[in-house]
Amino acid sequence: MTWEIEYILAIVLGVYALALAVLYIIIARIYRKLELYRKMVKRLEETIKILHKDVGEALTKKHRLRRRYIVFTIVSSDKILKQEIEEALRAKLASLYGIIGLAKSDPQLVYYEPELKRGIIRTSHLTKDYVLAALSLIKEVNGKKLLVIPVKTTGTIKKARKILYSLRK
Amino acid sequence: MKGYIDFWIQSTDIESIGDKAYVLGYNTVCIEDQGFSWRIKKVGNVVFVKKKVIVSDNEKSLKELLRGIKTEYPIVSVKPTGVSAARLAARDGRVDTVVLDPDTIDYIDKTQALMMKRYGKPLEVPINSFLKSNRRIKAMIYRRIYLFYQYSVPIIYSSSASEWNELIHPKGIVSLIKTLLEVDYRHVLLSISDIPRKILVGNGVKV
Repeated sequence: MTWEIEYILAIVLGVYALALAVLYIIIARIYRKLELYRKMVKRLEETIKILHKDVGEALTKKHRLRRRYIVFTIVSSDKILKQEIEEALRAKLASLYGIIGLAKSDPQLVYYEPELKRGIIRTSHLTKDYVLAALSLIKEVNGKKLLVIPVKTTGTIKKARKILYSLRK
Repeated sequence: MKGYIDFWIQSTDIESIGDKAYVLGYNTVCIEDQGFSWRIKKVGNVVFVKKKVIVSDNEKSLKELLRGIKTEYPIVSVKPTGVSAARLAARDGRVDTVVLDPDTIDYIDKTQALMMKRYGKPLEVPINSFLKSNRRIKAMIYRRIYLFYQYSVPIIYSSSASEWNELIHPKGIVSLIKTLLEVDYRHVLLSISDIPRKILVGNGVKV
């Protein structure tokens, strides 16, 4: 009788040990998975943080308007005054891009040589094309026929002056 | 640098146009025939190519006008004032470009764009006629240009200048079209350099 009890006990203990081992393996696996998930969540959090920072910066950052200087020459047999060319440019800009386009671009004739018919116009980097298009389409100023040639666009007045002086030669 | 090409000028004063065109950066100019005896002529640094602009409202008259035209004119453009003429101009090999201006605007439509795309025929847009037209026509021309741009039909921008002061600087054309269609400047540059050059070379003009 005793050996039967021992036998049953051994079986029970064996099953119990086996169940414990299986449980241990399952718990270990779950723990490993949880560890992986924890790492993934951590990485995701970091990415979201970076993204959030970038988007936030992009949304809050105010872009500075950079200046552009357009060096131009005029082809005409008549003498063209500074005021005339400035008015013609503003009128052309207003007719092409409207009052808002004119306000945005706000072209300023910073330098002009009436004898050599060359000058520099200041505008912003966003509206450079507006001014270039308007300049090229000026055909007449107070009955005087002319052609405006945009020579070069620069980012500094120093370089613009350099180009203007090199044209003299 | 190979220079730019103005595909349509209507003036008779070759000397002054040649000087000004060279200053603006053009090396080839297609000039509408005003009774010139030459086909191709070099004045200074600019090559002048004789061009014929045919206005036709039907297929039959256009066919008659096109007969033997290539012996005299290297470049032939058609201003179709009828649907049948527009369709023939799109598929005929003798026609180099189809002109889009206020007279032809009603016949340049989606079907025309599809046909021109199939036959690789470029659309020519004279900028001065676009700028001179009224608001309604301007909007219509804009819509047509945008449609042709979407259909990837090659577009050529020309000045159609009748005087020297009507010439437009290439930078001006690029800036204008860039702001008008909101396209990349390289796309517009092709329209005043590469696309017209291919047509000229295809018609035996050395540029």
